[in-house]
Amino acid sequence: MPNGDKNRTLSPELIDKIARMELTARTAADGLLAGMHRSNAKGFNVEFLEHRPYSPGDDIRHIDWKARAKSGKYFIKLREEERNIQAHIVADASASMDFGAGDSSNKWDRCALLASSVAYLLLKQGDAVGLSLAGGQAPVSRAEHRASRGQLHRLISILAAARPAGAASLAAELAASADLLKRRSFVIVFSDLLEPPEPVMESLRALRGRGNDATIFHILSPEETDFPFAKAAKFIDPESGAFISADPSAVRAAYIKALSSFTRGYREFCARMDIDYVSAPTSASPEETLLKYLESRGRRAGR
Amino acid sequence: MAFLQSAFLFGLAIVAIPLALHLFMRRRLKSLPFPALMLLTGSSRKSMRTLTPRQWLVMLLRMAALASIVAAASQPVIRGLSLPLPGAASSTTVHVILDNSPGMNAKHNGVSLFELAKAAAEKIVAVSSREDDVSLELACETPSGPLPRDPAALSDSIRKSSTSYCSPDLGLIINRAVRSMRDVRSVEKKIVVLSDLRRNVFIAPPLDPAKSDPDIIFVNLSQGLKVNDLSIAEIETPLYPSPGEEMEICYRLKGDAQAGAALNVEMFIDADKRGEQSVLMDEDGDAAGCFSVTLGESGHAAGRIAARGDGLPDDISKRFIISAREKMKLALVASKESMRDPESGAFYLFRGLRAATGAGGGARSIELSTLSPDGVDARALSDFDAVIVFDPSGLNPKGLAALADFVSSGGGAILTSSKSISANQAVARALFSNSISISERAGASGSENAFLTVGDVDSAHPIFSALSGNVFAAFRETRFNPHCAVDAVNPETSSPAAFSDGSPLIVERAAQGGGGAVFFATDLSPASTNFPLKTAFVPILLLAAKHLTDSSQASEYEFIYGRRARIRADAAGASELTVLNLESGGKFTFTEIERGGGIYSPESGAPLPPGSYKALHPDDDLALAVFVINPDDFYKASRPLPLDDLLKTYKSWKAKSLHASSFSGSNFPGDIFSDKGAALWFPLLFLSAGFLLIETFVVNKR
Repeated sequence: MPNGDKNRTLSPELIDKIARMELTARTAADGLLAGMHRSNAKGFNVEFLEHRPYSPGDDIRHIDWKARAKSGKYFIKLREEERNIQAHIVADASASMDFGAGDSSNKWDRCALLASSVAYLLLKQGDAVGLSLAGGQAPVSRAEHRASRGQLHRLISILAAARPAGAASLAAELAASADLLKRRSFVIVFSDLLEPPEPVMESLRALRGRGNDATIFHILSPEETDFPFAKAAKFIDPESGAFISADPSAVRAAYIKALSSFTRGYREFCARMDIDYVSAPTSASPEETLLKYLESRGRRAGR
Repeated sequence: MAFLQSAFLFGLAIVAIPLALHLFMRRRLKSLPFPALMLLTGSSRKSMRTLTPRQWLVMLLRMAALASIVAAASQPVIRGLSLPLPGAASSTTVHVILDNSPGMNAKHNGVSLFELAKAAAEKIVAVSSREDDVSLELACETPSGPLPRDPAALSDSIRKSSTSYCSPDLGLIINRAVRSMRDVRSVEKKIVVLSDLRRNVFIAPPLDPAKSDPDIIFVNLSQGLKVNDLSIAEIETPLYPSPGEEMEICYRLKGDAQAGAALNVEMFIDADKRGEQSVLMDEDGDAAGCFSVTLGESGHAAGRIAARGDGLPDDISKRFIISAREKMKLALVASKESMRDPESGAFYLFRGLRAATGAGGGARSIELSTLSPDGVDARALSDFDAVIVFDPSGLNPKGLAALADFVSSGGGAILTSSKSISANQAVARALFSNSISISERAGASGSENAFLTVGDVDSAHPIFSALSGNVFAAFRETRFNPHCAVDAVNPETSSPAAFSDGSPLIVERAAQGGGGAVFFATDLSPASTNFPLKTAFVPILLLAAKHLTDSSQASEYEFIYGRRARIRADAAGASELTVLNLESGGKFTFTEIERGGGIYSPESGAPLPPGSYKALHPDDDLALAVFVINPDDFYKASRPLPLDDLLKTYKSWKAKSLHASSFSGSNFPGDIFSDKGAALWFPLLFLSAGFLLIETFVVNKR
């Protein structure tokens, strides 16, 4: 469980937690980086990569005017950046993330850990990393993009101090983040995506439309993936307070089917939009999750 | 299906516990936070559908298990249907009620009904199996402990049983057996009643039946009452009853019933049934018995004795009236010497009368005195109602004249003959006004050949009609060697009994003003007759005294039928009578409705309540009648139910009747044990366990 510091101050426990998270993130990322040949972080590079049609919102500085002169159409010149990229982490801190038995499988804990690890990786290769929280209660819910050495500590402090709460709209946060991003960025979303998918997908589509790269870490607990409940219970949505009385044995199959359809919808959407979809169940270790992600990222970069 | 312990069925209320828990738990479902509720929402409708039936299934299984346990505790049984279920085997409990009342001595084809009943009871014991439980109860024996139930010992008890003098209430015995068998856990419970099922033995009404009550099988051993021309020949009432005194009213039935045939005799006093008894007809087809009653303070009672029996007409009854009178004062006129002399008839006469009228005697209403012959005069006689004169030769002419006056004034005189013919002739002159002639009997030598026996007897005469058969028979066997003969009987006299040669043995003359004289043409000495040694001796003399002293009052008695009072016209002679209720003292006015016919009716027209009444003459306050209002209506209303109707009242107990002659056709007594039925408590316990196993390992396993 995240630290629920009601005074919004950095208590010793919070500081200790931040230190542990930082250490854990570094350990996890270092372990992953060991043996890797190159960074697979993708971004805008000074080396020409390809053209793509102009879309509203694109920075006109990236229009290839030569191509315009030749073809009469506007193309954005994509380049392989030689220096660090701008990455933006969106962490879902809605109440639904405060779920999962034990520290290791709590969705918010896993979200903070994965976000910290990714931030560490990005910062280590010199990228500027920013952060925004979707929902939740936190003294600070947003961090500017920086590549400084203290940025990791800053991001982890924000994550550690945050407490999942409320019914946040990930779609709104993604839209807001898109507006804030000054240049094409690498947007990494950590969420359970448990809200109506259409607005989220619309926001992601807009992000991608602006040339941003995106990755979604879909964090679910075993209770959500397996629905292992045995006895009839009153299931309450922590965000809305709505509830359903159900016999798990009677609805398990239908639920699993609905979840499968839900995740399949996101997978298919992400595939269409060239967004990395990473299944991040809390039952898996964070290293395993990150490794699988980086491997798949590497394979895509290799293509 | 029936329940042996139906009270446990109230325990079915606990079946509501699972329902209550179900409803309670539905409201108390554990709350679990679940962020992915949006994915559960799509299946919520289905979940709520499937949730309820499953919980209902669990609940129903638990309710069924509880209901099965409660039902098992209530011990359900299915009677008459053997089910192939484990633990459903059952036994039969049979309680045999053997009627050993006297009526069962009646014989049919030379075998008494009781022997038939015992044979039937032994058959029941013989065909019972080891699992069955057979018990026996004798109707005339108060249960003092359990009779043996071992078949061999039970059969032995049946063989040794005998009839006993009692009038059992089979209704009460059956009710007691039903109550005791309600706790018996056998599936099949039956009561077998072996009896001639006379109606009087069902006094207590049947109990309200319960489902677990045993079946009742009435085995009717009655062969019907075959009797013709049955009548109540005589009712003997006390000579001089007094209020508050216990007395006997005896009756004699005459008919041609088969010896041993049983019928019931009931006695009603006023409008109340005061007694009922079962009597057996003797070898002559007659029967006799007595009821003990106590006369009320009013000193008056009118009643009826009725004979009842299956197949008998309803009107075999006879009315009687009892009216209190002071004790009859009877004097025995005999010399002291003769009363002490065993060779004298006075010796037996005195002792017989003293025994009969003394304490413990049958004629306690008679006050006996003795009077010497020379002490007989008008003054002495005035103290008595009747006199018995032994050997009138001791009377002097003055005493004889006083005796004649005594008879003329309503007294009764009974005289035996004297060996002195002249003394006998003096009696004939004084008391019979020469209406008879007495002469010395020729050949009266005392030889054996001269002995005479009793010849023609008017059995309807009051002196003889009240005699029982045995006593009368004893009188018929009496032998006489009379010294005198009564030669002629004219219309003023009558002879209710004669010697075997046809000459009068007893001569009677009724006096004008009441009273009368009876002359015995025998001197009663042991040398002349064995009459004083016969059982009929004293009763005949006392009946003669009663006859002579009752005659003056006979005309006063009448009955009222319905609303009509029939009073002798010559005694009434009034246009209006006051009728007095002897119990309450209430007075009613009766008016004559048939001029000169002596028929009166209540003025109000309303029926009078049942009771004893006396009609008072308006002029001289003469008591004219003692009667019972509506005795016939009451008598008819008091009739017991016919046997068929009685058995119908047991119909709710599934009672059935078997006739002894139909044993072979009814598979008796095999039918008693053929319907084994099924006990369901163990199967229900198995079922309950099954419900719980299904709930635990099937439903909750999912």
